[in-house]
Amino acid sequence: MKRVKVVVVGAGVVGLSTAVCIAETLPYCSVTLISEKFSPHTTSDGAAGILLPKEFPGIPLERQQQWFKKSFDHLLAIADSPQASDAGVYLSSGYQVFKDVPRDKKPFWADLVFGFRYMTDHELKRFPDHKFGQAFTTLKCECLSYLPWLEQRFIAVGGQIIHEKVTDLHKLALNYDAIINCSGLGSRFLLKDEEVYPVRGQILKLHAPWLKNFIRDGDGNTYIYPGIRFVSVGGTRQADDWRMELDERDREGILERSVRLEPSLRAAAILGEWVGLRPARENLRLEREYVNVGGRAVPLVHNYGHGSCGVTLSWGTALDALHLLRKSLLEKPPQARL
Amino acid sequence: MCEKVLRPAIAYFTCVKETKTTCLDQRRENFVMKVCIIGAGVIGLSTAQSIYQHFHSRVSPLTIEVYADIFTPLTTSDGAAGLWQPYLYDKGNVKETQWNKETFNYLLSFLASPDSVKMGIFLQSGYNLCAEPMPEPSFKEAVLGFRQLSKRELEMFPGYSFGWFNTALMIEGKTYLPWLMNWLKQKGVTFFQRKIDSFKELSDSGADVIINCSGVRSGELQPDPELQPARGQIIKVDAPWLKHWVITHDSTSGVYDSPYIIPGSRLVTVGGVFQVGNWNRLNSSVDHKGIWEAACKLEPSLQHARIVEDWTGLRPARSKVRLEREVIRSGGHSFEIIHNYGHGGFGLTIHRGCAEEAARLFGQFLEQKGLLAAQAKSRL
Repeated sequence: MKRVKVVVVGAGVVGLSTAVCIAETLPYCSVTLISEKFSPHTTSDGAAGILLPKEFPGIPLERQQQWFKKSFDHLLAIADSPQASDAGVYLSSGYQVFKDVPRDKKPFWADLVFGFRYMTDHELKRFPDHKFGQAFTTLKCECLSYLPWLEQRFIAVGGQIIHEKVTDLHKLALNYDAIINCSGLGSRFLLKDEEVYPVRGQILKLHAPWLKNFIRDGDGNTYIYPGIRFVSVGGTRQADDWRMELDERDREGILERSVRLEPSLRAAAILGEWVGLRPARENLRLEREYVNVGGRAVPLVHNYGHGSCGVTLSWGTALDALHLLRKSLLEKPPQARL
Repeated sequence: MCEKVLRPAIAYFTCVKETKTTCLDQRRENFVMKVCIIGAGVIGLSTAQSIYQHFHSRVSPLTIEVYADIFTPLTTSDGAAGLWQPYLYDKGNVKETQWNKETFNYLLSFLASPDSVKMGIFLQSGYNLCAEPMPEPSFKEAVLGFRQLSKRELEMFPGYSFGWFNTALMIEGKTYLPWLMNWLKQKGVTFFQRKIDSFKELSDSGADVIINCSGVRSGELQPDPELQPARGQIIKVDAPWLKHWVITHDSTSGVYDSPYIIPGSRLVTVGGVFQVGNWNRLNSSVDHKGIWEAACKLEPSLQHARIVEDWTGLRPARSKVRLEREVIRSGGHSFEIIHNYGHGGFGLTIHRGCAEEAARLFGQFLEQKGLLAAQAKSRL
């Protein structure tokens, strides 16, 4: 039987995870990954990669929990293996502190991370501006290492890679039996999906190797994530802001806020800076439609709109996309291409 | 003239003002308080600091000298990983638990200060793993966020079915000791690179009080059958993705004789062995192999880590810390010794509490000799 030709669009953490998922699970598929950008030039590469979900308002909570749980378990197995350093995946503990006590003190993912608890008064003493906090252990997945590592896995099972910008899904559908769209922010243009919008994030990379625990302000505007070779300090959350250039005022603001949270950062040298555009959407889009080309109905599985939760939900949504693909291929076996 | 210091409280303060000058004049004529500290590890240096802090303005002039044949970065304190953590149980040595806690709180107070990085202090969380349920450790109140490990977490550590998680402090000797030395030098404390062969040697050269912080080699100055080396060997590894310390406990093998992994600010320290009675300061390839294999089993990602170097140190092990005064009489003279040694594998952990206690003992000595300008109880 001729192999089913599947193409995955987008080589960020979502696209690569999806491509690997499909290629490793469906031996009857030959998978091609096509993208304009690859690591280290994707949005994922700049992300700190701390696994910490945000709640989408329009998606059943149970589904979101499953996405997170599957991603967490998958990455935990890597962290617990000799591959951990190659893949850039490891445990990270820390605090999320709130200036005002949040309505939802225990988020939907509390039982999915390790050791979730409220901070003690003793622990909160260090944060005089904050009244409440959560302590837990989660995972950190650094895409600068993880994406190349996934790419190797992909190639090892026969995956094909094409460096090219996709501008027309119909054209793509002419040559493939199924398309998985993981184009992130690109979906705005590729699909004319106006619901996708950028949320600009600026970060600094600091040299502070004595920092081991993360600190995040619950308002999402300030965070300190110790990494393998540097500490990612951020951030900004500027909706509909397409600027890829660094902003001086943002830098000042980030430094000022992060030093207030973690005074020892005063002594940290700046190694670099980075700007990325989170591919935000009110709700993550993970569903299947069909593209009709030349009498064929080509399944088009969408897996985009992860916002700030790309790494966090990558494997879980990849598995879901795989499931949708499998269902499609069973429901409507691919017809011969002309 | 100094007896006037013992008058009732009301007249006390004025009285002190009068007599202080007299006492000082006398002292300037006859007497300089010279404190000689033997040992420049964390115990010696921190004791010098505490004594200076408490007495430099109350005993004038106060001369503090530190004598040692080995200084940072070659002391035992320099090689230690630097995790603040006492042994699991204090075996009734409640004072030690108190001194440990005092040290923790003291170091914690510096975290927000501009000096924290220069002092080598930072927080790190981690795991204490046991093969079976154990009673809660002595330090559970002192550390931050102490809790039991969940079953799910324990699945990451095959072979261990019980344990705790908490956030503790790191205090890296290689950074802390130079900071302490600098602090002391700025205050006028002087250092002498010299091996002291006897207490008498220092007493003969004018020491009024000798503070013995000579660690594992204290026995050379005064035999102490309770003091023994507990040899430790460690492997320093480049594994910057590790962000938690992991200490395993094996009730059959004893403290630190079980694998541990402690990430530092630059390298990760992997151990351990605790060989009582072993004076060998050379690295052993047999120990290296044992330590490495056990650690890689505990933390599989270490297999791809770059090994940088091995190091061996001798912990000054003792049934309990010797922190007490002793008066030694020799040839018609008597001189005062304050012993502060035998801190085993928890020198950095307990140093400040012990230094403060040593300073308190020094104050006791001064009071007994009537040498102390009245305590400003009137510090209203």
